[in-house]
Amino acid sequence: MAGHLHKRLHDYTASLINEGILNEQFNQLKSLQDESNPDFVVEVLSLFFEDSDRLLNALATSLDQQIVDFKKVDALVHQFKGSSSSIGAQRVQAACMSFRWYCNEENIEECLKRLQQLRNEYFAVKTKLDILLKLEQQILAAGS
Amino acid sequence: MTTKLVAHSALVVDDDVMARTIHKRLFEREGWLVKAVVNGHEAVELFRQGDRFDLVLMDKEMPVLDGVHATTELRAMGVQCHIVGVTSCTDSLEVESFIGAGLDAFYAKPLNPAKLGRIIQHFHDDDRRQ
Repeated sequence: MAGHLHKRLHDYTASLINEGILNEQFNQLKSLQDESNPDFVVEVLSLFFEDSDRLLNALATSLDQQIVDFKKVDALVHQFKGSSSSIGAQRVQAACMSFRWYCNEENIEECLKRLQQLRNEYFAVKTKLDILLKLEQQILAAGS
Repeated sequence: MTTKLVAHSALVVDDDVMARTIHKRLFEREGWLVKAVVNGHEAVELFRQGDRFDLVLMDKEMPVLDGVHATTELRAMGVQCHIVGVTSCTDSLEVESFIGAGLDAFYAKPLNPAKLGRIIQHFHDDDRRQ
């Protein structure tokens, strides 16, 4: 049973990398998981989800102000770029890079479009990572 | 004759909880003792209180006190330990100013086992020279 789960997880991760959803950084992260830290991937993915929700809310609030503080918006996007690159979520990372360009331009319309694009990319990767997280949790529950 | 192995210590300074978690794990897997703080001010305070580390992994952009200013303060206090800067910032002038604050090395984020290997090797090489 556990062997089957490991194979499913391995194949699913490989498919996410082939699709360009994740990059090699995710495998580097996975390599940090071992018997002494069997739930490291679950821990990091959970942190990524919490942090991303917080950042998306903060971005929406910041862009909803009468006078937008573009430096603050840029700092939030920078954080999001950092956390997405830490786990190899390369499409989210790319969305952050183009968002930052428009923060620099102080273009509110484009920033709002980029926020929507970032949300779309994040929720797309979250859906895939949720499946991966469940597989990791099943493996942990199976005791291997 | 027995050889006593002494674990090295690292201070991870980063406002991003994911970076702190990952960087801490990278060092701990190599047998290092690790403490993590959330900004440069907390790092400086630890040294002021007498804490000592073999290596500081310093993020650049942090609230309260950023990596450039924290590194400058630590060097002004006479802290001589290895300080390695990390950032995802790509502006070359900003990176130069970070290095100029007193870093021993600089690495672009994200870190991974291979980069940490180079950081540790660089640390040991410097340690042997002294």
